Amino acid sequence: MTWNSSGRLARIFIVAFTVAVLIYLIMPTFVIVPMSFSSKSYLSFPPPGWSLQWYQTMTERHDYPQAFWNSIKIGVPVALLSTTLGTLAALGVVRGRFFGARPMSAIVIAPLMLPQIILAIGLYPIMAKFGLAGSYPGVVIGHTVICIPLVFITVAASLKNYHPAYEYAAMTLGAGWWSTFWHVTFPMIRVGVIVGGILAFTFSFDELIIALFLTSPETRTLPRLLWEDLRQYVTPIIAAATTLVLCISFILFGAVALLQRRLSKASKS
Amino acid sequence: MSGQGAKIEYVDISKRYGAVEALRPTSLTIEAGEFFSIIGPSGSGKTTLLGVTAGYVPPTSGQIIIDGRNVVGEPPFQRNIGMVFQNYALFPHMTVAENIGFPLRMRKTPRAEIAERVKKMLALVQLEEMASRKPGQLSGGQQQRIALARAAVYDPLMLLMDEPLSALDKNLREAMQDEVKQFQTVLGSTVLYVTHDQAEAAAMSDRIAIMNHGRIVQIGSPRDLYEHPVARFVASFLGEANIFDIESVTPHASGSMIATHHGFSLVCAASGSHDGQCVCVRPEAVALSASRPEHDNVLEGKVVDATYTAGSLRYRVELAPDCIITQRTPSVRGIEMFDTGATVFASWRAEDTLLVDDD
Repeated sequence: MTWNSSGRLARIFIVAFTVAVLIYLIMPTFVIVPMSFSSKSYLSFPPPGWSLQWYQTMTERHDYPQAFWNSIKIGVPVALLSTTLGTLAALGVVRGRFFGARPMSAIVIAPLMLPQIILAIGLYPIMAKFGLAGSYPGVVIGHTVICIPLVFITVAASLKNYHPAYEYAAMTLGAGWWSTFWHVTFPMIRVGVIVGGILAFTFSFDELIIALFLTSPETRTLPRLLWEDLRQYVTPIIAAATTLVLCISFILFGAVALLQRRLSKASKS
Repeated sequence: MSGQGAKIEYVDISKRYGAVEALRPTSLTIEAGEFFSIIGPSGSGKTTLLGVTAGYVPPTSGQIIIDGRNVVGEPPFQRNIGMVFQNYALFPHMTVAENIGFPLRMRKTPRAEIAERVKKMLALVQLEEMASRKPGQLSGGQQQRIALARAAVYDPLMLLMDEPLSALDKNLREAMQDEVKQFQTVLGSTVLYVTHDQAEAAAMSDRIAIMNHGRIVQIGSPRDLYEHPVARFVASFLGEANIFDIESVTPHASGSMIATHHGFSLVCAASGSHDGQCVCVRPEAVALSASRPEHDNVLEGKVVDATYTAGSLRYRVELAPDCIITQRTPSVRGIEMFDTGATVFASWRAEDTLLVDDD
């Protein structure tokens, strides 16, 4: 065998292996999609026949639309709150020169690393004590704890992407603290802030464990409703709702990918 | 665009980071309209002095008096100082015109006046046609000129420049030196220029301060510093220097007689002690000849190598084991060259035997 043909063989192998890994990563997520178009009233793969009836049933039931809106009503304030707090934290830790900046960044990221169940168990009695268990503010606060690190990480990365000389420059040119942030820092980290916000919303929209502890039947989110439904009757309506969540997540991830491409283009020029 | 620069006085200004003295108490006066450079190796304190002046590094002690006003404690945006950064720090999301107009916008200057002054500035740096471009679309030299325009458009009291030419290639750097100097002359600004490139500083400056280990070692005109270095560090940092360690110094009819570590006897026009001093001889002060000349100082040696470059011919001559002297002459056409290994005589005047502090 010549060197050339063995090289080609290796390349074929690498391509095949890559494709296999990608299928392994993505397939399980997409199995749910054809199941949602099933003509039968039980979950099976591949579906025995095709129908849109489960999407219709889903919209006709009152609990699914309500849970969907609950997820949005929780996800949007979580995204706004964690974007603001996470950005401020990143600015303080990355740009501030103070004793304890490093341990502080570890503390900010900690909620993301720790098991969510611990956080949920810890949050529940506190929320109950303040009368917030089961309320919108309760679950918004819970989700924000985990979403701040998401924003913190993306914004800190954007801040580390450029030298603080831009901010010094703005200040020597006469811009005060607020003007410097608004005219120079924010435009330079904008993509990181938006990406962080989208990740925060997506996280809150998909999150189950904290929602299980901190929502009531009135504030129940879509993941919690799906989980409750799964325990009783496994109908393709679950697949339909999941497909909806999947679509929203993919649209948002697509937006993140587009934004990040713009960011890398901008930093190249 | 009238703005005469201001006078700057540093009074015992210092900066300490924990146990590290980045800047020892330093006093210095820069005259209005002066082009003043600070040179020194990295860690010598020159960047700290710049940061303290701009206001983003708080000093540990001392005062900075600009135009009669102590600015220590004022944030950068109240100091009215212009600064040009090493990598220009042009805002990538703004156009060239927006960048130059930024300091005026921060000062709430009326729009029409901003437009007019930006236009004048662009004309001064000859980049009128680039007004609506983004900085990323400009070459390094063009970005540098925009950064200059932005730092000067609001008639600041002084201009600070932090190695502004170091990112450019050699030819462009030399061309830009002339432009920066001309820019300063036209505007009459006081400039504090920081660089590690002594040739660049010498080409532009009225005076230069050489810094080392957080303090100023010597201040003077480029010529002063080169011809009369006070210390070994200055002599070797600014150009090339032949250094001889001293064993003893004895008084002599026309100054002093110096016995060097390698056993040479050198005649020096000045008198000195040998405590903490050494001898410096500039390569240009040395002459080489094939036969022994009549001169104040004559040392015999062998040619180690010769380097012919545009402008100068440089010899290294071994006078003794571990003792090589460098000699330089202009590389004029048809110059006769010594072969490697040839025996030559290196000679120089008593006035060119400089006694400097051995620090």
